Amino acid sequence: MGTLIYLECIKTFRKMRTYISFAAILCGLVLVDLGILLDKDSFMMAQRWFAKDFFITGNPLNAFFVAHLVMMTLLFHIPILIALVAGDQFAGEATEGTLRMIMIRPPARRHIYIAKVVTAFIYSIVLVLFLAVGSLGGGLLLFGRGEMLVFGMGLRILTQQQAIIAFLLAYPLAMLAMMTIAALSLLLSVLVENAIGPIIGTMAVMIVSLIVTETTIPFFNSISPFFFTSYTKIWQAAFMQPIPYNDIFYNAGMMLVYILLFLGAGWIIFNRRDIMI
Amino acid sequence: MRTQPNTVLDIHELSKRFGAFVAVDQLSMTVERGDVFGFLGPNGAGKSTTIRMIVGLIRPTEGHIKIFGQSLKAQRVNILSRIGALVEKPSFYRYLPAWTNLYIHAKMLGGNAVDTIDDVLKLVDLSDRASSKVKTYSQGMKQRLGIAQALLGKPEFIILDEPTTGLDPQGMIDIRLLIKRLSSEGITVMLSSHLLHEVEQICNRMAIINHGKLIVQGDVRTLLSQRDGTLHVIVDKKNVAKQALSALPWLQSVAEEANGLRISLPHQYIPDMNAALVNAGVRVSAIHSDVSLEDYFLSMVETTHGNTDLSGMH
Repeated sequence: MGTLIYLECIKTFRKMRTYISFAAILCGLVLVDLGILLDKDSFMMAQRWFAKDFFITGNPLNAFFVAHLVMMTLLFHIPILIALVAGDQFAGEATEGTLRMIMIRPPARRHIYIAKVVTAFIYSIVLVLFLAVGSLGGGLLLFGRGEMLVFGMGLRILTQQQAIIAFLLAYPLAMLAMMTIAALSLLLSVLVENAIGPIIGTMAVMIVSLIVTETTIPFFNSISPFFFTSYTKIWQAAFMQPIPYNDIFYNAGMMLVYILLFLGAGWIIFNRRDIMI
Repeated sequence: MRTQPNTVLDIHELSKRFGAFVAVDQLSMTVERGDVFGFLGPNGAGKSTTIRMIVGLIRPTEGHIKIFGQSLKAQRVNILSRIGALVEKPSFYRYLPAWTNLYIHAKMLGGNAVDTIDDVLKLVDLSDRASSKVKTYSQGMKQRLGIAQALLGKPEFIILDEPTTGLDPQGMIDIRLLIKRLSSEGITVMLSSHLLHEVEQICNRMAIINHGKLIVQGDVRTLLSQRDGTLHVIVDKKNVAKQALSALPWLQSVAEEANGLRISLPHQYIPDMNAALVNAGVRVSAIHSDVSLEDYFLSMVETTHGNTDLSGMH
């Protein structure tokens, strides 16, 4: 099993397309950091205006603030990058004909399936880690540390220690969210035999789900729990005080349920499928 | 027990249906150890579907497949580790070097297959391009690399589906020589090809299928010799021979050639023809049949099913 995962990693991480995602995130980070640097005074003024009634130690325009801003901005776009690689796992190989070539080798279908799933998850985790290191690391270099201002549903101020705990919780939750999207892409990748289908399919499902879960129409409230995007934004709860652990556990559990549903359906299709191309 | 110890592949009443369409219909055939087995059929006959079932890409609707005396369904891992296959067009990770592509296949095979990578590259004359990315390869080179991956791990049974597609004449000759060499080393080869003269040259046994059904299988020479066709008979007295043959009611035609006669007659009357010539005092030096596999194939396919697409058969 380890050998198969290693081989899948060779295939995924030696492909140029894989690094489009990292390049896109890097571009996003540079642009956000540069934008804040160039417009530092406006940011500082706005923060002072919001925080005029609070006592804040250190520089409020710091790495934590920037990393949170980056997370809010980029986590909406990363699913496209996840679909780019996860959606390619089966459909891309089917299009190229390489799936036919590897399926006549001894490893069982279930092992090939698991190896591809694990590789897609590794990629999702590495991508979020890259975002974490890039945004926090770059933020520390450029803006230093300080207490963290969190906007959204009012203003919250986190101490440095609370900010670190929040990020330590938020990034794994973001990874889980990206793994949910990767599982959806894998399911679509098994369903079709052209590489572009799963990418478009994932985005289409994401858009529909987001319309249902993010739009404030009463009817949608009753059906939104059935859409996985209701749970994938739970990482934002890590920045609340006190941290709503019950909500986090519930939402993380629901993401795991969706992962199992997507992967289970994908496995049933893949196991029964005749390799025709 | 149906399976003899010497039988490498034993297909028994194998069928595959896609909805209402029957791609393979109650097909039974065997490939014996050491065979170079030609698997023939016109386009859409069910050859590729059959091969895909043999290597586990497609699940049969009915019937069963035994390889090395073991059920493919029950012993898939063990069986696939002992066979090599090139199914249709060879496909590789274009962004990876040829060596890495073979490494991926070798690692999936397990055992000491990785140790055979350099040998198989040498065998198909690609050693000097082993580190080049596959996207820089020509079609012919990809074809040779496809054969190389089928030879990884020294398989006992090799299935080659159109192995000479995309190769130049010299490349085709090289592959034919390679197949003969593999056969001489005791490796069993199953060869699906549109090139009938290729099959005729290198296969000792064959099967012809059409519309998913087996038409005939057996020894190539025996099957060809059983067909009606034209004989070239070398005789010393052409006129006497012609006169003697003209009395035979089943003779279809006779004409003079440079050193004998060209005679058409039903296959079963060849001994009678020979006896008639000898009785007439004619010395018969040689009898050659010019029934080619192409003639044989066309006659078998056309007599069994009229509406068959024979394009691509050469």
